[in-house]
Amino acid sequence: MTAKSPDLASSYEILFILAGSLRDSETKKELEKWEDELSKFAKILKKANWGRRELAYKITGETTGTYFVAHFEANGAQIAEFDNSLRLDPKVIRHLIAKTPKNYEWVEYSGEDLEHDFTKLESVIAAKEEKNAKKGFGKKVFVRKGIVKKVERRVEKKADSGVINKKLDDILADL
Amino acid sequence: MVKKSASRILCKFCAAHAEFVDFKNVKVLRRYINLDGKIQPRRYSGNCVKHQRMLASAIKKARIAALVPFVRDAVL
Repeated sequence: MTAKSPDLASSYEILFILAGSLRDSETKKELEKWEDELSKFAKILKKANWGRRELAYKITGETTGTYFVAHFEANGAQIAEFDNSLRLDPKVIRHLIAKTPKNYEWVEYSGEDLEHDFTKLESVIAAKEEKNAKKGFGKKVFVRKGIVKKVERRVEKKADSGVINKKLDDILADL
Repeated sequence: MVKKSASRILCKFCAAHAEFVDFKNVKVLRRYINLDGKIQPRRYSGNCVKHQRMLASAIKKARIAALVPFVRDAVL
C-alpha cells in the first residue's frame, strides 16, 4: 500500500449520542461545541440532528439519547485526536466515526424510519402460531421467558414518558 | 439429484441497484435481523455474497450506534 499525501482528504461519517438526561439547553451547547470542534479540521458536507430518541439498549444507565450525524471530509491523522476527545467526554455516551462506503450518497432519515417497533414482536408471535396451527404442530410458540411481558411494559413506559416530556416542556415554556 | 425449484430467491439489494448499505437505514436492517437480534443468514435472505457482507457490516455499525439491539433481551 502506498502512503497517502497528508493533504489528501477522504470522506467520513460521524454519529454521536449525547446523554438523554441532559437538559435541552445543555445538549444544544454541547452540540454546537462539537460541531465547532469538527469544523476546525474538517469540511462538513452534510449534517443532521435526529433529536432525542430511544436507545436499543441501555448505555451507562441512559435509555434515551440525542443523536447527531454528519458527513465530512478530513485527514485520517487529525481524526484520531478528535476521536479521543469524544471518548473522554462523559456527556457523549457513544460515538462512531467510519469511512463512508464507495459511491456513498447522503440520505435524510425521518423519525418514523428510525423508530423501534416494540409491538412487532407480538404480531410475529401471532403469525408463527398461525403457521404452526396450519401445519398441525399445536399452537405453542417458544419465546424466551418474560419477553412478551417486558415488551408490554416497555410500550406502556414509552407512552408514559411521552406524556411526562410534554408536561416538562409546558413547565419549561412557562419559565 | 433433486432439481432446484424454478422460483429463485434473488438479492433485493441487487434488484434495487444498491451500491452500499447504509447503517443508518434501520428500516432495511431490521428486515434482516431475527427476534434474538441475530443477522439472518444468506440462505434465508437470498442476498448475494457482496451485499450480504455489506449488510453484515452495516448491522454491526448500527448495533454500536444503539439503533439495533445486540441481543433481544437487552432491548428491555
